[in-house]
Amino acid sequence: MGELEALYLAYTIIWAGLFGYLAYLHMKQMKLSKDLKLLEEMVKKNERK
Amino acid sequence: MKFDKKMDTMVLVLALVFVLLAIYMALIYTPVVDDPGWNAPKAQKIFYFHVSAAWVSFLAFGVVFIMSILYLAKGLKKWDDLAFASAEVGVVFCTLAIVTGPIWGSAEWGVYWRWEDTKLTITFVLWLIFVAYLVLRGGVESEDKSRLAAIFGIIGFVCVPLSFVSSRIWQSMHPNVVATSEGSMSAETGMGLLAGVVAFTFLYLFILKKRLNIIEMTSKIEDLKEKIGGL
Repeated sequence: MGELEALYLAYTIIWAGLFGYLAYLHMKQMKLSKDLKLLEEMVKKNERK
Repeated sequence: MKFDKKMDTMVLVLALVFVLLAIYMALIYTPVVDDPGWNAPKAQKIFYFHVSAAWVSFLAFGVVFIMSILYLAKGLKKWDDLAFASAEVGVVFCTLAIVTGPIWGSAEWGVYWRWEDTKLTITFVLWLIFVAYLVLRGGVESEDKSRLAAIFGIIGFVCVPLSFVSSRIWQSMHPNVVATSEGSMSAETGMGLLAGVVAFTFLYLFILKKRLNIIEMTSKIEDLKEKIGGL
């Protein structure tokens, strides 16, 4: 592999990898936050009954 | 471990500032190595983030080691959660180091990997151990899962100091980062590396907090599900 090709490839992998992982965590956090709200509402409703 | 929102934002801002600074330092500020001994001097700039990723993975596995000891001693869930979160983030950074190293190797050595090189092999074993740690945490259904994982995390950490010193103890093609008797890195190179290490350390703290938050939310959801089932 040429040295500039190697440099571009390595930097692309590092930043795409890190931001991909961060995006995955963010989406997971959003989904869990929604689920948690829904469950908390269900618990409140059940307790009122 | 509870950070407030302000602390979270501060860590994110610091991470972003240092990431931009580190990219500038690595690509523009630091000189291309001027040594006939290097076959691919431009590709050497991979080093700034390859070493930083490796450093953060060592830090993350060190946190797993300490939290695992604390968990075994005190049995508190928060230590176990922190060990789990740090192991996952450590594996991500270790993967980046393990992937970018061979890319540099292909330009510099003409081959991607050298199995005879102790540093490369030990780091690969370290990565495998912590991937196995994550599989153990995700796959084993046992009440002792956390204890087993803690023991695994403590044993796995042994590879960290071994990987760190291996290129100095055994014959290795892997360049030495820390200064040796043969010479040290230039001030510019040192500053570039420092910026990368600081940037990745702040990124690690930010990601660790996010991952820990996910673990806590998952536990809360499980508790609420049980509560609903019990009502």
